[in-house]
Amino acid sequence: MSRKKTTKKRSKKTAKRRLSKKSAVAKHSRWKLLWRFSLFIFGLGLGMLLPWALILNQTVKEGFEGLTWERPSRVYARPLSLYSGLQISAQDLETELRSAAYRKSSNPSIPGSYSQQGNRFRIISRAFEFADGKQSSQRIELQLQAGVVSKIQDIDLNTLSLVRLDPAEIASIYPLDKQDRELVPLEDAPHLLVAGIQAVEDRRFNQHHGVDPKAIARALWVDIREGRIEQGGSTLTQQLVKNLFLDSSQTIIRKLNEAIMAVLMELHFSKSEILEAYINQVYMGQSGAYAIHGFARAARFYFDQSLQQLNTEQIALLIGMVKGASWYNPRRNPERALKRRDLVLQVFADTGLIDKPGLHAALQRPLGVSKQANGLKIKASGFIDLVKRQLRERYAESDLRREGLKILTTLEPVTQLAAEKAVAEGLDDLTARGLPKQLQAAMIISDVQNGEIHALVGDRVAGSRGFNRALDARRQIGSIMKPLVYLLALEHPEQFNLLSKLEDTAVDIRLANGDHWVPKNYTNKTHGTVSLLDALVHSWNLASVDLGMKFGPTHILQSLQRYGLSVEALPVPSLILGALELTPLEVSRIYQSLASGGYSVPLRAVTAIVAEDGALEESFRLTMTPLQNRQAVAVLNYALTQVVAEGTAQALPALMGRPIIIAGKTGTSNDRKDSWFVGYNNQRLGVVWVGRDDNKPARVTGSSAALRLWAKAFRGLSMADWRADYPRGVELHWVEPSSFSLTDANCPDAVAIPFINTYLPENKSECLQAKSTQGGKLWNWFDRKTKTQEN
Amino acid sequence: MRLIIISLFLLLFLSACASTGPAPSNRTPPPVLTEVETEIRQPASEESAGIQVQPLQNPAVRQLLASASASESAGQLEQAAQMLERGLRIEPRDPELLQRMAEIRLQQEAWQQAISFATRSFDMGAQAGELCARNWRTMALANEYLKDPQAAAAARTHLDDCMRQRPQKY
Repeated sequence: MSRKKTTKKRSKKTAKRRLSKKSAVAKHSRWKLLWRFSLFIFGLGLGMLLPWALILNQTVKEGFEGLTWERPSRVYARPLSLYSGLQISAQDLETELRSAAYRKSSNPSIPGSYSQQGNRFRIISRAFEFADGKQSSQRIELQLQAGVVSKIQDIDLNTLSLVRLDPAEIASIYPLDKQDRELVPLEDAPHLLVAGIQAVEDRRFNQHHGVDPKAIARALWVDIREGRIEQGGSTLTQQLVKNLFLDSSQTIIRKLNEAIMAVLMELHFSKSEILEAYINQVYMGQSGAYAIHGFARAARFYFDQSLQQLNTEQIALLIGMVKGASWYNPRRNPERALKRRDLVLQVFADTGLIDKPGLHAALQRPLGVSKQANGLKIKASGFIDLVKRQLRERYAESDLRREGLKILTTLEPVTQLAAEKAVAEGLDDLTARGLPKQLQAAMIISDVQNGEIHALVGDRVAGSRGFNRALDARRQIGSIMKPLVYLLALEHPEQFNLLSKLEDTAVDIRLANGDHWVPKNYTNKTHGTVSLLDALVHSWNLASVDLGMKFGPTHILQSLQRYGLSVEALPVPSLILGALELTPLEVSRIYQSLASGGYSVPLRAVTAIVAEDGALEESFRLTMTPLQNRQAVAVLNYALTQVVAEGTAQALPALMGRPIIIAGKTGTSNDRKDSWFVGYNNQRLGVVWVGRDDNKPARVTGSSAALRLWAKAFRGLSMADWRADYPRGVELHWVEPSSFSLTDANCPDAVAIPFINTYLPENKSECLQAKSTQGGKLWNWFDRKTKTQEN
Repeated sequence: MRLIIISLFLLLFLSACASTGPAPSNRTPPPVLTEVETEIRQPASEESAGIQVQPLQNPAVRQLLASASASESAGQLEQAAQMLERGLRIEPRDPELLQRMAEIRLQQEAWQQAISFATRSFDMGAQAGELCARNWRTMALANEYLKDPQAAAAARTHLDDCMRQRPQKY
């Protein structure tokens, strides 16, 4: 710039001097000089320009060839499978749809939309690449009846047995440059977008060589007329070059560089390569800390839709936004955006991309931008934390941030929301009841059968990214340890059954270090000789110590290893009462194997990882290990249903607002610092911990705090009754608990409880003795079962 | 009479096992795919003619089983496993799904998992008939691959029970 100005000045001076001599010769030599001088300047310019151009050439070539965009990985919830017989309420189905950013409409016409009339849903799912292959969009009609899917049909009224909806996107793992992008190959971009962007931004894209002199001239003319720099006149290539390699300053040097680089780019790369880069690079707005780049991500961000599904006016809006993504932001500046969109639509019509009726129809329609908080944005930060930890075992952090992986997880939106709500509201309730304000909680809900984690909450504030108590809070487990001790006993059916006698009396145990351990019952009362069943159901400490000491702390500690836990704890007698610290996740792991009837299944948060191109990158297989003690587990599970029926968790049905059969166990640690509740049926396992981070007394008990949160979470979730399914060798027998003896179904106080093989109580009730002498016979299995149910 | 026929059949079958049964030591994996057919499915189906147990199945599960079969035939084992896992999410205790998973794991040479799923299938199933035979045959075969002839032999002895017992659960 400065160089040019000085040369101009100098030539003017020269001209002045020479002009005074008014001869033809002088005139001639003057022109000659001017010509020479110009040549010199030109040569100088060329000499300097050439190396400069070479440098730019290198930048363009290497920069564009090595152009690899980092694409964030997306984390998805589990997809909802719909089939006849599925239990789901209309409300929950709607929650699922909204969390997957489905839009409600009276007449759904595009993928990702639905309508609802009472129990009747019409849904258009989006296409999605699952671990087992790509699934295309489906239009379905679904009928619910009393909270159960009764019918699913396609638009031709064919019955469909199974439909899988595309899952909710619950998080992204972004590149460090904070660019949010979804790549789309040029051939997959809608024709209207590709043609439209040229019509609006660069009509002669296919003719020019990077720079369009006509457009520049026109822009220059406008600028001069308006007296300011407004019109760009930049080609798409120039815009791309600017976005990729240059800053956005408005200097001539930058413009010059841009022009040279654009020409160079066209020299090295094809029009389609440039266009493809353009549609993936263009800046389209800001989502919090992340910059939206490219049309594909913009389509998701503004319309919750894939690029291919956008209609005319949506494409027009996005193209319009290229001129200024924040100025024309349709969420913040809807009127401005609408004006711009309509202008673009007009250009579409003028260039023949759309016809007149198409134009008029599109002009009539609203912007159609989704609300940013469309429906439900699931926070689930505690769960995402677990996902990341599981991924880090196999993936480098950098790969997760740039490879555009699809991470398919096990999160159930409805369950997660219920858990988050239960923790937040439940703790507020407890505070209102006079418990400390500092209470914190963790909750994990998992699938008993396949170990999939449906919900995980690690903080009372959903979305908090701080300390994840579900994974990291190592707390004393208290009485939820007891079932593991009782299980050890039941594994020796020749010695122990549910009616075995235990002594619930004061003990004084001398420890190795010379101290004395004098455990007490919670109520400070003793109960004398009690059955193993009663001791567990009422969580009596002294009877449990009596039982536990028969095995010894070392043996008990060792038994924990079969749950895959390497627990660091001292083999002290207080272990029997739960003097042992575990995280809620570890507790879930232990109880999963009990709830499933003795099949240990690793807990999973991730099921599969799908690469950007749809190839299955990795699947986290379902694995299981049958434990050897399945008979004992079945008997234990019966006892734990009694904890809820008549023991320490008997408040549960009332808290749930309905009668329910659940297996469960409450736990309270010393000084009431920790409150635990573990409850399960054959499908789901819920583990809840409540306490204070500073480990000070929280004045909580298992039944006062954790149980309430558990009930709050499961109140709204479908939770069937526990179904006892006794393995071979476990049978129900009628007993009279008060006398620890066998009895007859028709005798008073008869209860049917499970026993392993032929290891039955030796005593017979008086009633049974009387009957036996009358020639009583064994009841067959079916009769017994019916009678149990009557009871 | 039927008992005699079954016993005779079993005797024949057991002797066949003794003569042509695979020797665990010189096995070289894996034409396991064909083995699943020839050593598990076919014989189980033949043995159990007359003792069929066919529980009602959820249509969604039926569809997934069909997809899994198609994937399996096409040699896409991981995809088949994915289908079966989907089925198990719907019916986690379906013994057929569990056994099919065991057979897929066998072909994937995940012997221990094959045993686990077959065990679970047996626990959840009618413990009689064809499925029962497939359960124990899977366990036997997987144990052979694991070079545990004792466990394999023990599994084979249970085959008798499959044929003797009447279905109880369905």
